[in-house]
Amino acid sequence: MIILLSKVWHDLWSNKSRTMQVVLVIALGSIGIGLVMGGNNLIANTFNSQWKLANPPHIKLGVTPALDDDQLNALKRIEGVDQVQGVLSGSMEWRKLGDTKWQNARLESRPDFRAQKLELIGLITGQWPDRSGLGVIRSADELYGVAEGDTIEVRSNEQVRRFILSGTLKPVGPFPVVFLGQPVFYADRSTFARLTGRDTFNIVEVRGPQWSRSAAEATDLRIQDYFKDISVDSVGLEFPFQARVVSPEVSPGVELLSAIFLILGIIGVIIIILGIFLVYNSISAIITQQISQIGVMKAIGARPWQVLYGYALLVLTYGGLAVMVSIPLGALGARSLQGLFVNLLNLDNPPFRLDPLAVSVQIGVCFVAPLLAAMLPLLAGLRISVREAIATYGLTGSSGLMDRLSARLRKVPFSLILMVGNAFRNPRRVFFIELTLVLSGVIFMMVLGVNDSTSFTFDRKLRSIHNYQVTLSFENLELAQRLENLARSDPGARAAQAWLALPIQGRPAAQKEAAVTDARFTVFGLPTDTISSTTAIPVDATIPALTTSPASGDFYQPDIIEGRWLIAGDSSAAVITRRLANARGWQVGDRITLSASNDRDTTWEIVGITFDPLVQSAAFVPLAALQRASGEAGRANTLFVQTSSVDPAAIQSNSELLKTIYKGRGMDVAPSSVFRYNTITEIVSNTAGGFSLIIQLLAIMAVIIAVVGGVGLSGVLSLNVLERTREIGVLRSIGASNSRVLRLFMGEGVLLGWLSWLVALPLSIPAAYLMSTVGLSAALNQNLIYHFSPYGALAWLFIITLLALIASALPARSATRVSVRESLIYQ
Amino acid sequence: MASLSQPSQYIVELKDLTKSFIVGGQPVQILKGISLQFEPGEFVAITGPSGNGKSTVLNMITGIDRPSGGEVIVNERAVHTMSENSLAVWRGENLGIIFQFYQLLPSLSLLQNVALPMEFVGRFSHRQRLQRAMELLEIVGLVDQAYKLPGMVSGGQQQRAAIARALANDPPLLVADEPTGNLDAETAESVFGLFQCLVTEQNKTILMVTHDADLAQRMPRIIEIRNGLVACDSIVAPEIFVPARLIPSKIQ
Repeated sequence: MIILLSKVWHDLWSNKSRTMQVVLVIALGSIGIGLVMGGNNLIANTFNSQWKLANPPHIKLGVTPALDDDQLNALKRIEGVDQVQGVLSGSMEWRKLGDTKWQNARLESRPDFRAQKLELIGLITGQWPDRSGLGVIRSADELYGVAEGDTIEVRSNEQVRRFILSGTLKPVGPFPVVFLGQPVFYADRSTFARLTGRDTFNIVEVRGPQWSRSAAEATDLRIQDYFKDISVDSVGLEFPFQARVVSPEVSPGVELLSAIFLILGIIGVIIIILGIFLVYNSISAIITQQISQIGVMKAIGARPWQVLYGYALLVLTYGGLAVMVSIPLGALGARSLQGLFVNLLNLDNPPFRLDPLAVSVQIGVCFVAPLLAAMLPLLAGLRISVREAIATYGLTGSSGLMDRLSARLRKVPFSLILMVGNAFRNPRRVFFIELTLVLSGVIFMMVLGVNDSTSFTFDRKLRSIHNYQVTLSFENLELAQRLENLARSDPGARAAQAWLALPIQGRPAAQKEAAVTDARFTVFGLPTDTISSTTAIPVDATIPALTTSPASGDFYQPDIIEGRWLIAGDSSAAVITRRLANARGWQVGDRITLSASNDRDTTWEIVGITFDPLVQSAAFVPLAALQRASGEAGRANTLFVQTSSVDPAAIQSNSELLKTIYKGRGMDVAPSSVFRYNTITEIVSNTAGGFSLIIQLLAIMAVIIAVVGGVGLSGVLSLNVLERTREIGVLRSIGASNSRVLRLFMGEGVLLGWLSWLVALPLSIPAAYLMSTVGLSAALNQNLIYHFSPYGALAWLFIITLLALIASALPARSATRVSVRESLIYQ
Repeated sequence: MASLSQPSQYIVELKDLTKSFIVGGQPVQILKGISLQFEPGEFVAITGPSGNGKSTVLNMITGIDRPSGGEVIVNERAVHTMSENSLAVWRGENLGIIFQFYQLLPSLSLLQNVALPMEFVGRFSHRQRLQRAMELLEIVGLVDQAYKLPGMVSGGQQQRAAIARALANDPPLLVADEPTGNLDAETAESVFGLFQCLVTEQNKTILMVTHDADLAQRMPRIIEIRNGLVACDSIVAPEIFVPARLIPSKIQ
């Protein structure tokens, strides 16, 4: 079939724009899949390989109170324990020498960096930490502007000390530096003790002789028994879901990644399906264009399989060209994704390689999908008889329902009738292009809807719930009223409210004894009436007392999902967050027992369930009741301040001033608040966390989909123009100017685009709702509120209009350049 | 039954052929009972007013269309009973079709267009096909244009290439539907001369639908189809067939 090969080659080469369009449509689907599959596999492999290198523990726990050396060493005698390592972890305030603003940072230490056993930290350059030098985590220079060689000041216990950053360190395994929102510094044990006032281990890592989940869980239970004997409380610490026991074979972050890539993968499959539709349309159009050629071939002796062979070869050539384009681009995309995650998680960048599975799937997509799409139109074309296939001179085509209806219209301009009729002349082609455009529009608007929802949840909604500008936490319990009164010293403070926040273990009231599997969360005690404390406490006479303390509702207004909020007069009522309720199966009306660190158990009735995008697992109770239950009458350790100005710079300076005021009064202000940051500005900008990453990834897919939609529309309109070149000639021969012909075809394209927008818009709303509240919320273990914004819809309307205009203008313009005579003899 | 048990002296036999089309929802009978026979080596003009069934008769013979009734026997094959696939194969081996609008594949050169039927039939090696195609182009005087695309040559040259293509598999029968209808007089004359050569030198049978009275007059046999019936057949009544009778049909 060598001569047929020439035909295939000529069909490819003579219509380069059509070839490019079809190849691009196939390649885009393949690139999307290559990017997602390759990215997922490469990242997962990188995760797992570097996770294993770190010699990860089987059990990782945060302990309260911290363990001393003897207590830590005693763990080694527990059955199932092979290796034990204690970690000292805390927080500190720091600033670069010469800077004025203090920032928060994490401080970590090991008993001996040179003799680490588990969750290894590697020295990249410089020296291990010592008495005069601290280590700094790699990537701190890009993220926080501080690097090895810099000198920093550290503030602790009213002292400011200087340290040189003498080494760059890095956890060997994955470590979410970006999500921390602050740098990590490393100190030797003595320096850590000097800076934090603690020389004990608050993180314990344990590894057994061999991995098995059941064995590790049994060991964990034995460890809990030991902790109970020494009155130590423990919680799981492993990222991202605070598990106690984690497999050393698979990095826990991989599960999170898998969820994200699943969502992206679904979109990738949708792109492939769109590509199949478009290839179907393109091949249909090619067959239609060449129907007379098929008829002639059959008339001169071609068997059906011979005709099929030629066109199948054409489709496979499109696929082959798409392979050449999509594999390197898909690999590049996967590599870029890998690089993105490597940076985010502070991993070592592995050497470049192609993921074999992703490449195989891409090849399959490029060849199989178009071939499947082309079969239907090919077989349909072959079934046409020679007589029907051989075109006669003149315009061909039948009239459809639209034409018969519009034939009755009298007052509508004929060119408008012609435009509408032309747009819907080929119902099947219109169906597929509309399906493509609608899907493109739905995905695009869905992504923008998710973005709007994220912004709404973590900005507007969060600010409406957390109605304050500054929040401080204190290392020790202070008099609540004193905390509120001292806030008045800041001229920028408008109102202040003190809360008590305590780590708590909670269980159903029917469960008599506490267990290691009890829920662990923070309980917030907040004022439920206008008096901030129930007992008259002497206050500093030099500071006038606030005449009224605003109701807690002014500072904190969560959404009530079920039941009610706390009210004045409540004594044993508790309101819990939705996540805590879902995790434990607790409902309004249930009674729960809360165990404080002083082992005093108190029983509360759940009266409400709330939603707060910032506070995930927590309970809210009346302040006075919590003070009584914990034996800390009149005390608080958390302060919220409303300022007169909401300017971020003013808020920041208020925060600094307040810290200075309290420290000046001998109060130990914690480096970071219970919400990690001290100002609402910082809280809002850092809380979105993982969502911003996934939205960026979704945005990439949305752009690919928009391109697919645009290319598809362009291809279909180009083919429409090509098919109607004779019609253009006829129109021009009876008086239609070039501009009128242009308007006709551009109107057709815009009509198709707008129709798809009208259909896509109502579909995109539930899609965005489900993606926000179900898909992403489940994947990232967060809560997202759906919020409709018209910007996504308007953006897509603009884009699709622009695409339609461009897609139709170019081919229509080239058609008007052909002479009338040539148009009329076009075949 | 696809083939006949008894050999026939005729290369084409049409027996009581009828054909109806549905036009505007109504059946319209185009052929009302055509019976004709053609012997090998005949050069026949089929004439008649437009829309009276001339091209339809040709389509029946080539298998491009199927009759509503009657029989079509070509080269001892009952064409009207053959499947689409069998017809395609049969056409490649037994028939050469020349269309009014040439119908050359625009993406193949003249040489490739001529060689293509040989490739479909599976005759000769690739090299032999090209060689034979070149020989055929030489016969029609197009050697110098062999490697040009159809769009680069004139209508007459395209038609001559189409004739060469029709001869690719050396079929005994050539069927031409208005082969000179789109050509100027000089080119039409040259094409006609080519046909005459094929008949006299290669004993081809050529059936040609034409509106050109002058050309028709020069052909040994003229059949007039009028209102779906054979109005006149010069072989039956040569004395009746006078040129004057063609003048009114030409005006029509």
